[in-house]
Amino acid sequence: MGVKVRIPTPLQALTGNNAEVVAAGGTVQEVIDSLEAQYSGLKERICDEAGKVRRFVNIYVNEEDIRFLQGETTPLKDGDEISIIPAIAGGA
Amino acid sequence: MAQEQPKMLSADETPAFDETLNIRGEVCPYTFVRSKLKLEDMEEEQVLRVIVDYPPAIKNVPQSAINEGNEVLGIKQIEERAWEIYIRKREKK
Amino acid sequence: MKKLELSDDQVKRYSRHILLPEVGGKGQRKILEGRVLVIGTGGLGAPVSFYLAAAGVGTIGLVDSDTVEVSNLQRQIIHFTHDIGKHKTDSAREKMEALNPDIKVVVHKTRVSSENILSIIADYDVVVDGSDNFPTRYLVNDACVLSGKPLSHGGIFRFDGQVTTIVPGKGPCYRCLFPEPPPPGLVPSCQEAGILGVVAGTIGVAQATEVLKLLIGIGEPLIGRLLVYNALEMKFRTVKVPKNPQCPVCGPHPTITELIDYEEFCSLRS
Repeated sequence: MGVKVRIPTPLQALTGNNAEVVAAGGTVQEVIDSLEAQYSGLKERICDEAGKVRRFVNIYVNEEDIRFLQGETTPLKDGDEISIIPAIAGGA
Repeated sequence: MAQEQPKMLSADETPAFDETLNIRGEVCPYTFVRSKLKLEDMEEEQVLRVIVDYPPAIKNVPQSAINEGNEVLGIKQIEERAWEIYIRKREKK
Repeated sequence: MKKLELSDDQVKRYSRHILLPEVGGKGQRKILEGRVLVIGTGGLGAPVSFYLAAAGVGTIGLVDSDTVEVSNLQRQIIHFTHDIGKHKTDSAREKMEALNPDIKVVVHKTRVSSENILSIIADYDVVVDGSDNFPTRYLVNDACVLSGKPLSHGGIFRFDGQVTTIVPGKGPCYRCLFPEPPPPGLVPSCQEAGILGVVAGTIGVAQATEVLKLLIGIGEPLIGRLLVYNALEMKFRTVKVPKNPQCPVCGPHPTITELIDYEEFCSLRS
């Protein structure tokens, strides 16, 4: 199963400047692993050493933050859109 | 709110009114801006008499007043170039 | 309180606000009585403070410790070429007062810290975060939560922007969204990342819009929602931000009850 994943600007250097990529997987975890297989180095930017999503990065399935669903084990269905949204601090 | 064209009042028809706003010399859109500010200070159901001498205002002020939910009781020509517009305040629900 | 009478000049100046059914004279008076603190007079702070001045926000506080540099002028539209070297708060105040003599501009030539922030924000109704670094952003969030002040948060990075509105007690805070700042170096937050100048305008103007809605009490502010913008795609999306019951600062059992000065990540400042 393929889902669309929106890649934030700071991580697009790892996806060949693609803002949107397709990854396979039935859960968020599987999608992250599928992304890592395609774009080496992406996972460590999103997850910590224990594989948990970092506290300044959020992953949304459609409009919902996975922290408030089932975290990394949140199941996905066809047509879901995943967004990775990191905190940004710029303002000057 | 749908309301037909405001009625033209004859010289001897004068609706009862509570307040008067004389804005001769004022042009649109300030004619309505001032009417609206005055209406905001009044109670629901009270009637405001607005005196204008800018011809487009006799179309624009009633139209805008109706758009905001008020009732226009009528327009009366009082001089060759002066009109009274009678507006009953209604709060838009 | 005695009702503020609009002068003839004010009726004309604010006529396009007064004409709006949702604003009217009542809403304009609320704007004129409003007190807003803008933290940072840079990319976000410039459009925010300029538009709030135009709108007639009665008291606008500006916090910044920097001076105007030539590299600011590509986006910080409140500063002009002849202002280079001038204190940013002074430069901004001059333009705001020239634009609208109705308003009072209060300058705070300092950087906010755990020591001074609570006393600075105490005088204001709404706070706008236009700062440029994570330590300040978390400090501002925590201070606003602890003192119950509504906060407009905006962030920009290259072609991206984020906006959310925090109303303590009513919705989530920035820590519900991102519990902790990233460690130094992991997320670029400094000027080497670059920024398309107009993105600061887009996001700053969205923040100013939220401030006016809060002051007037109309519409649906971005409470519990994060607006995410990308200029290259020209897309705005919103995602939901639930209140986190384990939030360390606004949750029922807070672990952060005092302000924290996080370590500065970036030695370069713009």
